[in-house]
Amino acid sequence: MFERYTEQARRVIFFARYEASSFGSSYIEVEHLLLGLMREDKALFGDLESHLLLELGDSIRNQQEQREKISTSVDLPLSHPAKRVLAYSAEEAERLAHKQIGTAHLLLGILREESRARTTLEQYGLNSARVREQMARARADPTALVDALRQRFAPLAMRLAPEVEPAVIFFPAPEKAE
Amino acid sequence: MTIREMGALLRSGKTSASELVDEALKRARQHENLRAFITVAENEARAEAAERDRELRSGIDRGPLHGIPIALKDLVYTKGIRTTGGSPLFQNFFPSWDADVVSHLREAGAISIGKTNLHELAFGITSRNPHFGSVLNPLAAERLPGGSSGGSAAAVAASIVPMALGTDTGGSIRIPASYCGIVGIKPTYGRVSRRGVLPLAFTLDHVGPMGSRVEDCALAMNAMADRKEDFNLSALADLKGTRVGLPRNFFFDHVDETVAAHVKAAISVMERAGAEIIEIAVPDFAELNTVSHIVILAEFASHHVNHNQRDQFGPDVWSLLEQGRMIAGHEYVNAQRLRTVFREEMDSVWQKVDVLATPTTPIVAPHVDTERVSLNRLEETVRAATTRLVRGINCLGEPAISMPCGYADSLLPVGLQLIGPPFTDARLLQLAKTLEGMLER
Repeated sequence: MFERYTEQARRVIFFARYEASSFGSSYIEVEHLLLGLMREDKALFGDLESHLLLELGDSIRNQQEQREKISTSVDLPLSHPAKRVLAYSAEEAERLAHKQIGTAHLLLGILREESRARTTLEQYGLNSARVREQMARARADPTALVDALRQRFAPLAMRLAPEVEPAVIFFPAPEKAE
Repeated sequence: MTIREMGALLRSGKTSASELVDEALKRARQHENLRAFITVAENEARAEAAERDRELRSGIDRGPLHGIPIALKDLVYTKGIRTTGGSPLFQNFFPSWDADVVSHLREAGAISIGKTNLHELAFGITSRNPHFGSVLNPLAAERLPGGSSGGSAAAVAASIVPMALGTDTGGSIRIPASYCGIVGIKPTYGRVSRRGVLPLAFTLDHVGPMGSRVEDCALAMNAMADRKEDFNLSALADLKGTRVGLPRNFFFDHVDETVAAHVKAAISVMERAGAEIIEIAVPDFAELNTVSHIVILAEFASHHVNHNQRDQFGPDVWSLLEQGRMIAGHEYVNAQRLRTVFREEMDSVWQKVDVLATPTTPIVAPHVDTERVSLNRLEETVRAATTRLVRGINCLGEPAISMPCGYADSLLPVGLQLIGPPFTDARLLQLAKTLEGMLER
């Protein structure tokens, strides 16, 4: 199931499983995946100052119900929302024509699934546009940068009333450079 | 020295245009390490100075700029003098005519000593030009001078010339003015001709002056503007009857505390001088910045449609060109339609206030190696932070000035931005001149 995952992304799953067993959860939930991500790839949250990252982690942990711990030798299944996150992550990788599924795709997957993890991330200003922009910057990938710009622009354009005309500004043509 | 001080010495016979130009050339040489110039036009400047001296001796006085040494951003056409745009694409481009604005300045008697360095093709804020060298901030070499008109700002801040020409498509006059502690005005769109200025984005490009004092910019505007008007109005005795808008949203949300404190102190000075301070909601400039981004990318790509050699560009500018080529036609048109919407929203602001006072940049000049900054829970690139408070104004076309309003603990200047309704450039300069005097008391 995790053949296409990068080494880092695999460790995220491992840590998510560890988080789930620590809280005594019978399933690996979306929140556990997020905690796993935060353990494995702090740079992914580079937009957040370090103390805010800690605060975010505490906030997620405080939302978890603490039950009796489960041994790490017990195999825990993924919850349905967590499965959807992994499916979304795969889609994100495909969309960007990336062969492997990495930690950034997992974060984008989490941001697509309705969950407390997503709500909390958004409270800290982390949304998919920001993550995409960060990914694009890291790779200096113009396609991804434009993609991120479009995500911000599209809702504005959709608000336009049909009667709104474009601003038209006349300009004289400069001499052609030789 | 200011333009007025130079003019007084010139007309009293204590100096000549040739001596002023020689001194400026000497200072340019002394400050070569700033890499403020791409081309120093020594012979041409000396010949012009001799001619201006001859004119003065025979009773011909072209006005306040007569015999004053200035510098021109290397984006404006200069007849017979190389105009590179800071790019290898134009490294052998010798225009056969002067840009309109250059003609106007020349007719007013100003003498260009050379062409200033800039961010490649004016598309960036660092002025770290991979082809012609990185401009240094004369106030602190380890800090960015800002851009794209970084060379012009450095030439003024280092007192090489009292005035230099800049262009502003997303803050390129106001940003370096803020980081180098000088004055710069982006006039109302179209107030100064762009004919003969290498375009970055046709509908966002503005040409304007950068000076050591507000009056230097005002005197330059008298020469530069196509439609003649007196931009150099006397400073006011007080600011009674002036409604100063203090934006309630956006402009102070993510700003360094010291910068915000200095800007608010300057606003208090205006209040004590009789201005009415009105807290006001302004359009969503974050959205306007997004619109501006679409427009600038698409228009930049349209101009460089034939330029496909990656090795002719620095990596940042090449990436911007690639991005511009991906903007769809409908997106560009809708961005222009959104400008109409924001224009109307801004017009309602001008019903309530005469001027908006904001920081120019949310930070003082950052260290050259700083890539990201964090301000009140918002972490962003230096580029995004630097352009955040200025870029949207280009989308609207309003006149906007940046002027120093104090110094942070690091002894780096803080820029105050004053924005006025379209075609109130003269009044805005008058307000800035009045405030400049008050801040110095």
